[in-house]
Amino acid sequence: MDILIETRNLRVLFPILKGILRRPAGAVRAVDGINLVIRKGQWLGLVGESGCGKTTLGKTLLRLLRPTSGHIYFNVSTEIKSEIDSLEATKSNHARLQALRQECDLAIFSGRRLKTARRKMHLVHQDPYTSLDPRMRIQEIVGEPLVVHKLMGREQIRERVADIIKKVGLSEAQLRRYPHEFSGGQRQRIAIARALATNPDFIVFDEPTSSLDVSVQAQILNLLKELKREWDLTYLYITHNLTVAESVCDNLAVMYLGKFVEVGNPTEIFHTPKHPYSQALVLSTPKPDPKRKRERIILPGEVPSPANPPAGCRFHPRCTWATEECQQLEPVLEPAGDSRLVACWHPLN
Amino acid sequence: MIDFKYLLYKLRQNPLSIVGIIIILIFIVIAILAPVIAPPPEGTIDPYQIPRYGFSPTPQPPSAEHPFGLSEGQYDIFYGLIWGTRSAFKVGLLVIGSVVVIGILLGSLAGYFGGTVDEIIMRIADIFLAFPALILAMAITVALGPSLNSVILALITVSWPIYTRLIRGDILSVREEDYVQSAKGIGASHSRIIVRHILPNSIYPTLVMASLDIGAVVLSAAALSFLGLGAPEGYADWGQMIQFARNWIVGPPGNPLAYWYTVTIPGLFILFFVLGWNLLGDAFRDILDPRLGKR
Amino acid sequence: MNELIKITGLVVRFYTYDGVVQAVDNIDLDIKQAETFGLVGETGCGKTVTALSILRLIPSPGKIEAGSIYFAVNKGQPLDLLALSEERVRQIRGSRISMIFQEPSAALNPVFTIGDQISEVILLHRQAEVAEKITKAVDKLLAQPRGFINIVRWPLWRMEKSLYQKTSQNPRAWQLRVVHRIPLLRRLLSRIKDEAGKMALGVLKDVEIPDAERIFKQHPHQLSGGMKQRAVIAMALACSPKLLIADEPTTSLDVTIQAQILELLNRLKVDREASILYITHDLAVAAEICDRIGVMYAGSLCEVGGVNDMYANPLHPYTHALLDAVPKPGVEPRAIGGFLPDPINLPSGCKFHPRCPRVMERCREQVPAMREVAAGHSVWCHLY
Repeated sequence: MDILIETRNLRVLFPILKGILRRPAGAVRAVDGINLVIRKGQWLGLVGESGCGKTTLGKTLLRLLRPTSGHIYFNVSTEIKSEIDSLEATKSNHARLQALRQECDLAIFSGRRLKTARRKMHLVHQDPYTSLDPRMRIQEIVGEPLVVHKLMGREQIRERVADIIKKVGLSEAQLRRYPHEFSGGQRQRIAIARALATNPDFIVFDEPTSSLDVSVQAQILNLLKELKREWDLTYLYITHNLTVAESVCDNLAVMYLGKFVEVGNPTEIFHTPKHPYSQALVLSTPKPDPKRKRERIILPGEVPSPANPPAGCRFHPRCTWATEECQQLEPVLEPAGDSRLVACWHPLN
Repeated sequence: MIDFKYLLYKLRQNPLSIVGIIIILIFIVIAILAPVIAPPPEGTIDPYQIPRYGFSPTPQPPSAEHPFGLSEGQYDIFYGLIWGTRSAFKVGLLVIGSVVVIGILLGSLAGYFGGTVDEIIMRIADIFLAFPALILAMAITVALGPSLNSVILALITVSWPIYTRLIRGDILSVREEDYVQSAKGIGASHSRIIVRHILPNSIYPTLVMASLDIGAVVLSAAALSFLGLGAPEGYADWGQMIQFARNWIVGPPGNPLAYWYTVTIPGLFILFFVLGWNLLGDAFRDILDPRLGKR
Repeated sequence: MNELIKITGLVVRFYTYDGVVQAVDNIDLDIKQAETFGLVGETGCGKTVTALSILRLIPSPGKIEAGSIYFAVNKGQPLDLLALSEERVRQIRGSRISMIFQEPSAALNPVFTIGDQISEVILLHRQAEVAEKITKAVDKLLAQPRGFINIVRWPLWRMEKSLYQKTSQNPRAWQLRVVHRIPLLRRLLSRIKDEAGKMALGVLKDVEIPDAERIFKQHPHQLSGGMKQRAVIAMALACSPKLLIADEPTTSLDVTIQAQILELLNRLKVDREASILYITHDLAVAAEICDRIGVMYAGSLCEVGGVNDMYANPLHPYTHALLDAVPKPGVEPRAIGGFLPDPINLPSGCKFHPRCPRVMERCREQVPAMREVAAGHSVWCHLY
């Protein structure tokens, strides 16, 4: 499978402005050097707790936020990527570098190119109660992407909207209603329908089921599975619930304080986590089995502020196995066994 | 969008709002039927010129011919008030209408784009707000010469910063909502986002304020006219009518209420007009409850 | 009565513009002493309304139509909470029964410090106790030899002592209220506030907030989500209630913080011999912390039983379907067909019948009665 999305050294820093003159005094390092690879047709899960930067990463991939530095490549050939890399490393031929980047690097797209790129990717938000404009009818909400991109005439838009709304499990008659007349699960379906309107390749889901009931969650996940198969989509699924990620995703990335700590197969990570943080997550996740005797690792303390990450390995203040090395040197994501990447000086198992 | 059954239900819950609607409807009818209710005398060119029946300065009490009496200079109070309703609506609607439009234009620029644009617009607004409103209005009317149009321009100049600020605030409150972000993510242009998404969701409180303000604007216009800075002498305008009554508020000793009709009747017209718009504004606020669907 | 709370025949309705919502439809529930009871169900099933009824906090347009809730106070007859006067219920709220909610930032007042807010609870309910403690302290001061230095302070101490004695007898006496209003005299009562502050600090330490002295003086916005929830728990436990009602307290928290809070609640329950009514829609969390579980659907109870029994052997088809829908490692979640019923037009008979895979004719017509299938395991279903 070829690579659909790739990021190289992606950083998103939010400056903290202090004082009367609003001088930058540090930055919130929300996304700090991410090399993400999503292949076509994959369902990548992105797991982490609040403040780890997963939502920021998802939104930056779609250019809802501006990256501070780094590259985002959407459907770009490996040759061009290597060329950009080498041009950057040797610092020669600045003009060619700029030209290539304007053409292929989503991180610096603007204007028409950005607008065209937006057709191929969408975001489904976390809160279905605020992601739909309360004063627009469903018909207009779902059809809006088509209207904005001027892809088809009015009649065609109407047909297509009716088509999509049936695919997500709602009826055509409901198109004339307003969002407040629908339940959370139904609103999420509408949001999904809107994301599908322009026939995208890539959809980012930002915790789509965290505010929904369990039975509705299962319905939505089934719907997502069906749609992915039918429309040949690639998903980035952001969640804090490891069990959900394990049951539907085919690849998983665990994020902590703006960096990936472990990447690999979800079931394997679940059963044999190699990074101490992944292990803590796995053990802290409650499971519906009261008989299970839990050796709990209750992670001490709180997540440190992303404005002031600890030196060395970011996880070391909370890690039971931290050593001198961990306090000083920051580990890099390295392969550790079949198709697993871990960023740790002393990986487990 | 407007569920009429729910509208009636809400109105029934709030009987004062119905009173407000009725008052304003009555005034609308009076304004429309002015030529019928108070026909201008034969041969007048400008119906807004109040007909005079003599030149004596002493007001005359109400009689069969002149139902509300004659004011100082023998101007027919009834005629002045009926045609003054039209002036009142003209002033109120023009001022508020323009101010809301200016507010939407400048407020959207300031609120949506932020940064330097925001700073510039807000500082200019601040400069205008630094002047006491009535003084500034007076200065403008004096500069432009006494007429209803200069009153309108003066009131627009005085009120636009407030509305720009309000609408900017409305936009700020909605700008970070998820559905606005979605619209950006779809690739919608700035104008589309503002017009289709932000404004319809945020502007209702300001519109309610605007409807309340129509009454306040008419009151300010009347104040300017009372000071002699508004409509020219003899123009049919409520403020004018009160201005005529300036010297006759207290009658001769022994009968202080002798000329009550010069002041009371125009005053009542203004009172009910402002009251009607206030109640109507309250009704709007109750009906356009932002929590749609939460009954 | 050996249960802590006994709810019988509770009916709660909401009278809205669109119609009458049957929020809770005739449920019988008991919570035993020193146990964690989990009330599980989806949105709109009535679990929060049930909890609010215990404390008589149902907002209008809701009304508690029928039923009784018996609460076993330490000594004497159990009280019917629904029949008490508002004054009496207010005395119970926060002191004998407390509640914590999902959003800790909504429960904390942003302009007061954490310490102030916890002291407020203590001052509201335990003023007499605090006053007694201080009277002893002031007595000690008075017992000192009357030297030159104390000659001015001595009469002040005497006034304080008489005020504190009055407080320990009747915190609401009119003399105290008058003194409280006069700014200079109010300082005489300041010792109460300090003492309450000390007790509040003790509770804060109890909920394992790191660096409690510093947090005591901070405002809510300076704390993280997990710490805020701990502060709210401290407020709830300040008066050692017998029952703590927790309405989805960990839903908005991260998974590792959630584990910490659940552990904390467990320990506190054991230490203080209190019961917890834990409301959640997350069956995994319920399995972690609860001793017994009740499953609700659209206002009625479906099944009640011990946690091990329920998960190993779910009797009601809804419980079964719910357990299937929960994502488990290695197993794909299975959705329940159909949608949640419209709360104004609920189905007749057994409310789950339109979606039940084992529906029978009887289910459409008759509401099922309770049947105790095994020890402590009851179900409301026609299959039994």
